[in-house]
Amino acid sequence: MSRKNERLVNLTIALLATKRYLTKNEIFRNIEGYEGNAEAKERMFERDKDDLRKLGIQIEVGGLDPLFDDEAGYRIRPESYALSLRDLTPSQVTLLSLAAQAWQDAAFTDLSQQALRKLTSIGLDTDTSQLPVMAPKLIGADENLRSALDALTSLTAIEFDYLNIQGVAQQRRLLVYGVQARKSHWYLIGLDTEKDAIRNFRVDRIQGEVKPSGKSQSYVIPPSFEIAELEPAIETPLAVLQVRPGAGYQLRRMATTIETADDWDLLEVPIFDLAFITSLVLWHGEDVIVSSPLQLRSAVITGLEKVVSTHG
Amino acid sequence: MAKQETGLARTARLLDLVPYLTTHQGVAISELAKTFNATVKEITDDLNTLWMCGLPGYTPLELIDLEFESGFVSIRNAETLAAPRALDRAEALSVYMGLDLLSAELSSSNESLASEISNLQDQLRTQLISAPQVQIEASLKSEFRALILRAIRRRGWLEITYHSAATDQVTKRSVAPYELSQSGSHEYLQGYCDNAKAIRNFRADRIVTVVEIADQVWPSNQVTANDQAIKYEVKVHAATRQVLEVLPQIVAGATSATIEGYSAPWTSRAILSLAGQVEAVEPAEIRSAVHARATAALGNYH
Repeated sequence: MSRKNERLVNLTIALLATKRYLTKNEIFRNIEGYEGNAEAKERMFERDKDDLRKLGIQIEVGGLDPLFDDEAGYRIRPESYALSLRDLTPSQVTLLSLAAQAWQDAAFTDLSQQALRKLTSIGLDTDTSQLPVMAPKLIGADENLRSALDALTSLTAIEFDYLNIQGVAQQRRLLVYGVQARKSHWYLIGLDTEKDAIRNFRVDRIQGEVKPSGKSQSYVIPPSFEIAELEPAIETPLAVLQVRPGAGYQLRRMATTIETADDWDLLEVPIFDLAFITSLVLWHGEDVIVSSPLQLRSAVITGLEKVVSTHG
Repeated sequence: MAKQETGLARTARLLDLVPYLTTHQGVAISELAKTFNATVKEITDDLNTLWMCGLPGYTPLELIDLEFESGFVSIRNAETLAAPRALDRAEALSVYMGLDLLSAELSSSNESLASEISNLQDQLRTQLISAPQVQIEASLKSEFRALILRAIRRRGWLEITYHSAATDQVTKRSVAPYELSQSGSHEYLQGYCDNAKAIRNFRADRIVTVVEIADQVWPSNQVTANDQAIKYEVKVHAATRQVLEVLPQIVAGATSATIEGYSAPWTSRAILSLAGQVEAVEPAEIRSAVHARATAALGNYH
């Protein structure tokens, strides 16, 4: 194992140091560790190239000259090998380090630690106390989120069982385009390949494990794709609610307008999700009355009638 | 550390040790082990391997020159590998998302920092093949987090303004904070609440403001933990996803369940919000409280 590691490091050094492409024969002759017959060396080299690529090192193939019966040659460009974020100020390095620390104890710990080591290797002193910010903390990032993020970076489709609204698990297949943390939940957003439409999935509603489905690099994220803004769009319908003064704190935070009065305040609240607003209104009991739309009003009345009849 | 190390992880560490050593000449092996999350033996093996690496020729002129017999490491003749390696896509994404959260936690007054962060994100974006969309909402403002963590360290008191979903009231409370922790998908501040004279958990995203209070005596250790949980018997008429999420003690397919709660107002509101999918059976007070609230609310529409 140690000899193989040594050979991989030597190969990296040689391919990085060279100004021109090195042919396989030059590599076998000059780099230590390529032993055995021609076929064995060949196999060794193929595996080594694969391994370096897995480490994210890009090996460039070139030097094929059609006029001569040239062999292919290999090199690693220093500019692709090295951290491109290099003209960084100490405060930028500090920000990046803080960002990497956000994953402490979460699913990405090993990755962010590795990123942190690379950043520290730049050799700039960082002083967190100079910045008026704290290391943030990503909450609720679990193994399934990690698997989904791995799929997102390698562009591999994923499969998982998802709890539908009736409370039944159903298999879904998704090309992940993005992730979102909203209202304390993680969401995967992407193309549901069965439905052939963009869908959101809340990570904690996934039952069991997220599994890769198919090969990596199997899709592209459409450049036009954007996660819908959190701000209410113009078309988002508004609910008009009467709310008792002093009550409905959460509704007031969501409201776009609030008119205060003595007995009932008048709130306009965007309806992103009818079911959510219905249960939020129910949560507030007699402190909230729905004026409009009719759909929400009847949903709330029906809900209340059911509670009364089940508890009567 | 306990996990099995793959050969490739070791190669990565060998490559990453060189730039780190280049900018940290004279670092102790024990320190390196800590930084690289490895054992002293693993790091020593790594140094012994690196010592055999270099440019073709492999004479002392071409080999990496390492000294580490003293337990402190210095490196020379390693220019080819001296630059830190590029972040791979997953690393770049992890930092990118961290920056997103950092920026979400900033207060709006911090415009210059916000633009510095978005500038770094632009640079990182170029490392991600096809740019994924990331959007992260903060549960706690950075300035509040700073105050809370400082108070925990110094054993200082805080006055927090808090919105309770159970009572739908915003109240000011004096709290001796013990810790910030996460449970499920939420972050909580746990501390001794002077108003309740008991230990309380506050959901971070419901904390409205945080202010430090000077010179208050830290609570004695005799404070007992949480109030007694109350048990409720419920009938489940439809075990929908909403039901399973609001009352996680209910399992899929169940027709009845015993749930534990700390607050009667919270439980009755939760059952009310489930619109008859769950029926409170015992204790009788909670059943009649749910019924009374629903009847009163219905009265508003007649």
